[in-house]
Amino acid sequence: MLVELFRMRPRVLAWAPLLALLGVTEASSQQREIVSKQVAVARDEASLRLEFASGDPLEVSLTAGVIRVNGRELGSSTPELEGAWRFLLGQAVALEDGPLARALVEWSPPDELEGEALETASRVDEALERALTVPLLAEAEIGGAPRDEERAVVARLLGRRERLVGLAEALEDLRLRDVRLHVGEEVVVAEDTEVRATVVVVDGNLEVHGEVDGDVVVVGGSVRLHAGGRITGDVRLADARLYRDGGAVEGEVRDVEVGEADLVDSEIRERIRSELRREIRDELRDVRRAPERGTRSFLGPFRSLAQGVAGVLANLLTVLVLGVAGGVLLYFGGKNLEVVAETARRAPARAAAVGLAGTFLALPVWLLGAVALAISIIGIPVVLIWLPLFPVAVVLAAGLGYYAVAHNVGAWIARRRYPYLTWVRVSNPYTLMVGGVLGLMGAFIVANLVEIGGPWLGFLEGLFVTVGVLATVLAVLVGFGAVLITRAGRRPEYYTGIDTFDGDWEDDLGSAAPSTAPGDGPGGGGAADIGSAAGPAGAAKDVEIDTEEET
Amino acid sequence: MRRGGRNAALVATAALALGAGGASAQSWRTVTMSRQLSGEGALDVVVKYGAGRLRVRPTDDGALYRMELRYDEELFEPVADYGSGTLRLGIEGLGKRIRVGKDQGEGEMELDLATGIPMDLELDFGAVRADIDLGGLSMTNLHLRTGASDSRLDVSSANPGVMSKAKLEVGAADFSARRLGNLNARQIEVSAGVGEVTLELTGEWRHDASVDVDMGLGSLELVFPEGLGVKLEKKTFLTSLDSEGLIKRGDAYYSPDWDTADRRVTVKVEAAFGSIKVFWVR
Repeated sequence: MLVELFRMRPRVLAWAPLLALLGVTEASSQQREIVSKQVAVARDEASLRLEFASGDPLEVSLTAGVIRVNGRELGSSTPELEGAWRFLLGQAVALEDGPLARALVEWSPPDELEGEALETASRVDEALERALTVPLLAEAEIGGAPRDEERAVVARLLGRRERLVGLAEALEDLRLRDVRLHVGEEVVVAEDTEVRATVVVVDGNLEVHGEVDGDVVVVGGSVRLHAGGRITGDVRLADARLYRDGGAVEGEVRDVEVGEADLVDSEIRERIRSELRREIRDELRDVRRAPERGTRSFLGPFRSLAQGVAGVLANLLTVLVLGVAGGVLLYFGGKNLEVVAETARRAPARAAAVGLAGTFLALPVWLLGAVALAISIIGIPVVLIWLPLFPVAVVLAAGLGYYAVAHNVGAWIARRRYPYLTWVRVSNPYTLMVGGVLGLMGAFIVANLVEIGGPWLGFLEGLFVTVGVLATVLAVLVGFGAVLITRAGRRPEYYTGIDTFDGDWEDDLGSAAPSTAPGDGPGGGGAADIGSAAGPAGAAKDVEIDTEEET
Repeated sequence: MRRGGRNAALVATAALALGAGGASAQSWRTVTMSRQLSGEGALDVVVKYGAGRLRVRPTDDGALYRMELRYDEELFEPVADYGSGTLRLGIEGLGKRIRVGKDQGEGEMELDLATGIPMDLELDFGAVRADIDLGGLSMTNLHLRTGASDSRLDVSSANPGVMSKAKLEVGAADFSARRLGNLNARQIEVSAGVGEVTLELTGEWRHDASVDVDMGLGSLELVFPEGLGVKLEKKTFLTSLDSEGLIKRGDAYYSPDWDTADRRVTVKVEAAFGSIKVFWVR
């Protein structure tokens, strides 16, 4: 009869009161299994969140003086109650599962509480006990269940329409006797206990430590057979699992197939909806936070690393390109460059002042020159040349000046004989040029290396960038001034033609002598003419960049 | 194993609880989270921590994880997601600007992870002082990323599983890793930006392995145990090498017992601007 009843569709289950014939007992209790715990303590918060093996949570929070259980407000707290609650949480931190559940169940309101505080504490105590205990089945308590409880079970079952089909399938062909129905509960058959009945659990878990003398049907949940646990009959599982932790099933274990159309029922749809809602919420949150994460993501340092490495490579490439361009300049205009460089070296302050003045005057000169030419008939065609060529000439002058200063910086680096920079040699003007450009751009490269260190060193990075900009501007100003003073190297204002760099370059040149060809380099001049001391051929032999130094 | 730590946590939490009314410029929140083992299979474990002090330890007391956090709740929120074979732990920012000042305290995170659960472990740290012991964890993959941190990684006992690859990415950091042989990894990749990196290739090597190190700027110390066959290959720029105990053959450096050693480790170093030093320990 029961099978027929369960096969009926929900509308027929309006006969639900008949289900009250089923035995439902709640004799004694056992603590539920706690799988997850969270204790949070702050200035105005002391909360506890538990998750049980069945998946349902319990959250008791004391926030801003208000106590809530699973979001439902129980009342206001007092300092005494808060102190007692915080002390309990202090214990809970060190406890897990069984001991934790026992500690929470055994907790009782402090004696000093009275009035409303005592009532609130009692409600908390009651809520903890209710949430943390599960009914124990015992042979002695079969039958005699209170009618209120029966009605509640029926109501819970009817509220799970999606389970009824699975339940009917699971009960198929089963010889039912003394059916014990539990809906949405954790059920434990305790050790040394024998239950002579068919145990049916819907949306719940059954823990068997003792013996079930009969069949077991579980719909939407699990059966766990602990060591010593025994089921003499069959086990029917509909959307449920069986865990064998040492126990035994003497009968048949059968997974009941539930039609797909039935499975995709309201609960599953609701799960999907919830999942989708959560996904969409997470997506929206991620989108909102995306711009902020840009700077504070945990991956930030690696973004900085990549940017820094790219910056270093870009700057090294720039040095290489500028160095090659400088080499070309050296090849075709070495003499002029040397005169400008010597002037910048011997009179840097004057050169800088002239360069600064020249920079400020360049624009007025260009405009006034254009006007002056335009007002004369002869000058009109010249204006057409003047207007584009004057800015080009200024830029070229600045570039020549920059290279002249780079040449000087290279010579300075060569004389210092820095480790890893010994390839910069006075005897080889091309290495001087590359070394000088490297020196002038060194601050930018250091800034990139600092950037590799992460966004936290932004100040230091900015400092080095500033130094690099200042070095470049200064080099251009001094060089531009020297170009103006020497008329692009055609007027040897300070150039003596001998002993250009009063260091020990002769030794360097001497050591490199076998690979250099003094005299007839493209730069012209005598043996002391650096531009010619190592012509392109000589330079090609002599440029030996030591990329490694081994100890 | 964890009793001392738990008692300490108990005392700390109780102290915080009792003194919760004390004034503080920040909204410090202390959270203890744990989850019991319940027949888990293989897991992807992702741990993220932005700034503060971090400690990671193995545990075998029945917990899948136990995490103790202290953080400013105005700036961060804890993360403990478990499901679909993935466990995500740590804290994440709320997107607010982090204050810097005298009252800026330091957050803390202490994490115990279960031994015996096969896991792909991903550790992602920012500016953190980290003390990490992965000894005994059953790891199939390891990916560690740090920012500007001062990190110590130790593998105090052997990984019972077989690790296909361990990847260590270090930003601007003082980073040391001990007993890397215990990772039981066939391949270890270390990528470092700026800083001092010490790699102790000690521990129990169960098979031959390769270690690839990519350094930006800084010093690299390689510590080898005597008896391990070592081959060192390097591609460097402006980087010195103190190859103590290694003999150069062709383009590589070898330990004297390379040809006869039971276990061989090939170390490939790419570095720019820095130094490489080799040490040997018994």
